[in-house]
Amino acid sequence: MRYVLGRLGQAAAVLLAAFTVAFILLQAMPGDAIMIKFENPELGLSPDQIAALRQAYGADTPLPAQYLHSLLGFLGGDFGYSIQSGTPVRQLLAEVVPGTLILAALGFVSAVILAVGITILANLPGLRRIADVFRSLPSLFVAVPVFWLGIVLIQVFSFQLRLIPVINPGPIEGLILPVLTLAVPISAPIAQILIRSVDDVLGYPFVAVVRARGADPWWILWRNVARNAVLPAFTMAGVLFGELIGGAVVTETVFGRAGVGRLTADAVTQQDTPILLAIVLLSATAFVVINLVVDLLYPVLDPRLGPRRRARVAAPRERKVVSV
Amino acid sequence: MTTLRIEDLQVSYTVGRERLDVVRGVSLEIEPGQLLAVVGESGSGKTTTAQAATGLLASNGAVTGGRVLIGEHDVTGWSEKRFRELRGRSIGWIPQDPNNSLNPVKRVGESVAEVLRIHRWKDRAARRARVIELLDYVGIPNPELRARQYPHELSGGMKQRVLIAGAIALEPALLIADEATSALDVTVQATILDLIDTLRRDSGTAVLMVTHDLAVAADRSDRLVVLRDGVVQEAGETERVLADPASAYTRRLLRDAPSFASLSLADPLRLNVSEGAEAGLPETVPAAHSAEITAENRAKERLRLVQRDALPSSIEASGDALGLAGHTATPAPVVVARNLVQSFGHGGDAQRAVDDVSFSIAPGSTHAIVGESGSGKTTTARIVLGFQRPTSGTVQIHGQEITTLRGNALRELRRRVQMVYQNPFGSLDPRQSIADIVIEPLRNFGIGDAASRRARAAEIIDQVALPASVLTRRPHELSGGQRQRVAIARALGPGPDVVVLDEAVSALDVTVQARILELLGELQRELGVSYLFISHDLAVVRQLSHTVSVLRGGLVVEEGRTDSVFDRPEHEYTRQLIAAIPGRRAAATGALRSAS
Repeated sequence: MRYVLGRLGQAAAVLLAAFTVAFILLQAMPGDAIMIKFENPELGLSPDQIAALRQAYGADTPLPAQYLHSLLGFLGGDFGYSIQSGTPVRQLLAEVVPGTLILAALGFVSAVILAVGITILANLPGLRRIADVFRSLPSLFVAVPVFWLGIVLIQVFSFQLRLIPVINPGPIEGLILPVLTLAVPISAPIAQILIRSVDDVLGYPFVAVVRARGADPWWILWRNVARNAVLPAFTMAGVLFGELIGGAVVTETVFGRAGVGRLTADAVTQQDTPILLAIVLLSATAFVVINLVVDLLYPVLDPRLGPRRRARVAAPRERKVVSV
Repeated sequence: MTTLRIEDLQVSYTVGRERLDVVRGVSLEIEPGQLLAVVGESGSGKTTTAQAATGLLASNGAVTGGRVLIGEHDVTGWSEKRFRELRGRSIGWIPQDPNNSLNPVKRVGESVAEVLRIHRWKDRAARRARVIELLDYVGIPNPELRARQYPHELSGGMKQRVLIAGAIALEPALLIADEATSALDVTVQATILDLIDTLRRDSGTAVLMVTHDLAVAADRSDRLVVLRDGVVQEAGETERVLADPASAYTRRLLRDAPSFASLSLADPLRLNVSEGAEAGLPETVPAAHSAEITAENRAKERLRLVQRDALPSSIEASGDALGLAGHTATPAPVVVARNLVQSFGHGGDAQRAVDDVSFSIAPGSTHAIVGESGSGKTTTARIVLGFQRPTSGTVQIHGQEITTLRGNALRELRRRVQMVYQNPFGSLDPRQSIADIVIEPLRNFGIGDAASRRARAAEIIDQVALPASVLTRRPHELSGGQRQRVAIARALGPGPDVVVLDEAVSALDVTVQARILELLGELQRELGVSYLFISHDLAVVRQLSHTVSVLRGGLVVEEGRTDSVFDRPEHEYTRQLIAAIPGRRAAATGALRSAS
């Protein structure tokens, strides 16, 4: 319990740091959203009018005051207003988050399935000869840029095979290609680590023991190697979440889907600071939460990392046995 | 009926395009209830022979000739699938290192049950009952509880018992024990070997024991096969082989095995104990407070503790008794450690890894700290090396207190106290040449200029009896023994007063180990350097050290001159340790007399 509380404290500290760094970086950028929106010569606003607007947006207050204002707002769930459209950031996010969440979740699940599939094929006892082909797949996948993959998939499946319409696809049809685009590059590092750790675990002495007891290769792979090999890949999966966010931005742009990715892309071009700040914090929160879950699940998967208490109780008893 | 018969077995490995013949015409046979030991050093082909008998060769290995018969089956050339039927059912296998041989994420009960499941033995409830019965049989107390635990919650000896339970679950006629006790503490080793003996008696199981340890083989086997480079050097009844070895190689093995050397009282390396130190040391000094004290002694013990606490000077007095403080003509000791305590953890959880350890090392002599895992011997060494500050207590080197040193003074200490590690494969940087490795500490301490350092490196390499040609080589081109010589050369380079040898010969083959021990003795005579020798191996300690402290659970249970501690151990634990040294049984039967 103390461990969990400690980890929660750490998570909160990470979020505060992310907010602060994002705030400083966004402020340090030359120009701001107000200038982009109102200094357009076609609007013909005078410098006095612009100054008045700046005052209205609170852009003239000293930075520490702005920082505190935003921070308190965020803590209260108020993310401010988009400068470009004037809508509350919260409302903008509420519109796009569910779509992106579905895309990311499906993309991630597909990536895991793909990675596990490749790993199994690479270790299939009957497929020794072509195992190397599967072993080299992850390297290929890593090298594929997301935007290129998306365009190629549209070309092949929509324009040539005409399997999936580009314009107004159904809700499920519309997800297939984006999910695939997102899944392929993310599956690669997971598959690389899985293949590597399966190889490692196969070399452990306990595998030799199971083999010497008459187990066949499948038994060894499923009942002994799998759970041990999953541990390192599990850590990687948490780290890969960052990639998922980056991948979502590109995928949503390529496929023209409304989502956090598109919102981010637009906000960056318009330097819409409140939106960007909210998105940075949203991503950071998701990242921290996922890694927290990974850390807390670890002891469940690996009993060696479990609470120490039991081990400590057991120790003195063992010593007695040894001395007899 | 013969349980296992191997006839003229030939095995080779393909490495790159080369074919390496690893086993070249090995024959042996084992009858039910017999224990046959295959003895050899690394690369002798002993493990390969055992693997070939079960079809468990590495993928680049192949049987190229001969026959293997298990019971009535001629298994030569059997497919992997047919072998699987035999494994676990007709052949049980006990692995080398119990600490890595159980699936870490499986409860130990499941690990034992696995062999039953693989061979579809009865139903779940019957398997559960069988697992508990097996765990109980192999001597695991409270088997129901243990079956639910994970391997990391068990000690090494218990893990090996669990592995044995799995190996015998289907009552195979043949057990293969591949260095099954090499990784265990000596007292644990003895109990595991006893368990294997019990098994043979109870169920008539035949055992093929693969070991590098001739002493273990001598104690436990009915028949011996000595292998070298894949060729049988000697085979026959164990007693006959020990009493009258036919091959020169067997004679050399017998001569080099430390347990036989000490037990046959062959001249241990005659190290020149400085006379003063020898004269100053009493026969045996029981430790100030020991773990197990009989009822009548306990009162005396308490009295002594009270006196000691009341009179701080009595520590000095006992130091004098030990010849440590060095009045009169005795030379001042190089190292004096007093009342070292190291506790880990806080408050009620604090555990004392080292609990009031005192010792001293006379110049040019060797003090050994001997104990099993968890005895605190390595922690003590780390304190002397200045890697760890003790919770309390003092260490003086040439009269200088080192436990409080910082900064430059601590660096200077590192020059005077050097270390040789256990594993010569891990302790040398694979990317450096041997010359660079030996020069590195000299450069770190700013000793001499580039030219004189090179000269110094060449000089020390010569002192450790390596040819000058190794200077330009890299560690992977050297054998284990040569690497350990390099590690010793590196330690001696800066001209230390004390070299801490942490299990420095434990990873070496027995003939190599004997040469390294001789070298250490010679270097001590030539250079007058002192050694602090940390070891679990009592036989080696007996050979190399002048004085010894026996540690158990952080406490010194006995200390004194090595010969008197070994010949007349006062403490029950020391007696247990000495009794557990393999090779004693063979010695007791008189089989070894003519070997020495």
